[in-house]
Amino acid sequence: MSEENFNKFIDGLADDLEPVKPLAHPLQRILPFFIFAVMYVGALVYFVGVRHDILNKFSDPSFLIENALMVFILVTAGLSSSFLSVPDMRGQKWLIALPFTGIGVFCVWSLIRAYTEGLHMPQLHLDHCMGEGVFMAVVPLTMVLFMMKKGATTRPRLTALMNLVFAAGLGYVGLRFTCMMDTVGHATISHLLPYLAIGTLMGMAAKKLYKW
Amino acid sequence: MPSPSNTNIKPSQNDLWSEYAAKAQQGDKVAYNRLLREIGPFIRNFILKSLANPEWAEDIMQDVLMSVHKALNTYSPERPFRPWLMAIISFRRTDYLRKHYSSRENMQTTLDDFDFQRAHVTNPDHAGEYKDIEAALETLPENQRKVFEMIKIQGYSAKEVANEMGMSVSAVKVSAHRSMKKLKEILQ
Repeated sequence: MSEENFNKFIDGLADDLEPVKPLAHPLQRILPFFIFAVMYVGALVYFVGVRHDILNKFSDPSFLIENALMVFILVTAGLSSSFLSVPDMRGQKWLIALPFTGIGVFCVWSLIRAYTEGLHMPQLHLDHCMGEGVFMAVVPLTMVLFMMKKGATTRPRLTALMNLVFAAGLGYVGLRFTCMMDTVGHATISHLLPYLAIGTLMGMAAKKLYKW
Repeated sequence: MPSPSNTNIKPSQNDLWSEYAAKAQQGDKVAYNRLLREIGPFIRNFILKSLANPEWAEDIMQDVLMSVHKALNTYSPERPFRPWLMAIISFRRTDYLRKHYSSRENMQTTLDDFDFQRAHVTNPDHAGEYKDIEAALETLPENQRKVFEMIKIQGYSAKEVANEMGMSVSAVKVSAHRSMKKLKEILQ
């Protein structure tokens, strides 16, 4: 590019400048989405129907650990999503390690449960949990995608993954409050498999989805 | 185009860019113009080091400047400007190279088309690995290097090389083998 063309290019960009409001802090940005998403999933759980043994479940360590882990994963994935909407992540790249660690611990926990309690893998068929899980995750996912559109990510595939983990985590916790099937096999096939399918599609479309 | 002597920026320059960017967010066109003029050459010089073809640097620089323009709202004035800019540079460079190498036009060319080669084929002057190989070849004794070049680069058979060099076929093969071994040791 000649110096003249470079000058023209710069002048063109400068002429095109409009005042812009800097994005709010990622924590501020995610908080309203998070509150709304929790309220949405809570409302869906209420309409679908809370499982009858929920009070007993609150004294079941396995149930509590599983949900606490999933809450940790979804909260850290939501935070990571929010920071990923800024090119340099505001220097908080370490955040990405948290959901991955949570997922790792969750997988180990599930393996231990599968070993001790048995896998009880169900037949692969369309289950009502699949539909409800997708329904619980789709609105939080849309909201977080909307939030990402206001920013500019430099890591589209990782962003897609974090967005999905956030929404899927909410859906998963919601399903644990409605579904009485506590086996690892059912959770894997009916609760997690639909999100894997959505994740695959999002991963393939990530570059277009987060284009800016 | 202005060209700074190197891509290292001083802390004060980073502060200045942060200040320009903050003013640009408020709509200050003069500050924005200065910012783009200063970061343009910085971007080009920074990415030039990692590209096989220097002409790509101009395209990537334009992409980065366009991205800075689009994503100006994502810059936080209380944070340093450089990490924000570097993240965009890295993203656009990777994006550009991925598109470039995946396009079909890079799969075919003719040796006569110099413009095409200049635009799409790795320039040996900018490719470190070529320089390394050339330097390694220089370390070989002259006869050994000639044998190696004739067999491995020019494609002659061992017999043809043996006739040309006045050596036995087995001596040619041994020489080529030793050269290859020595080059591997140097280049590893």
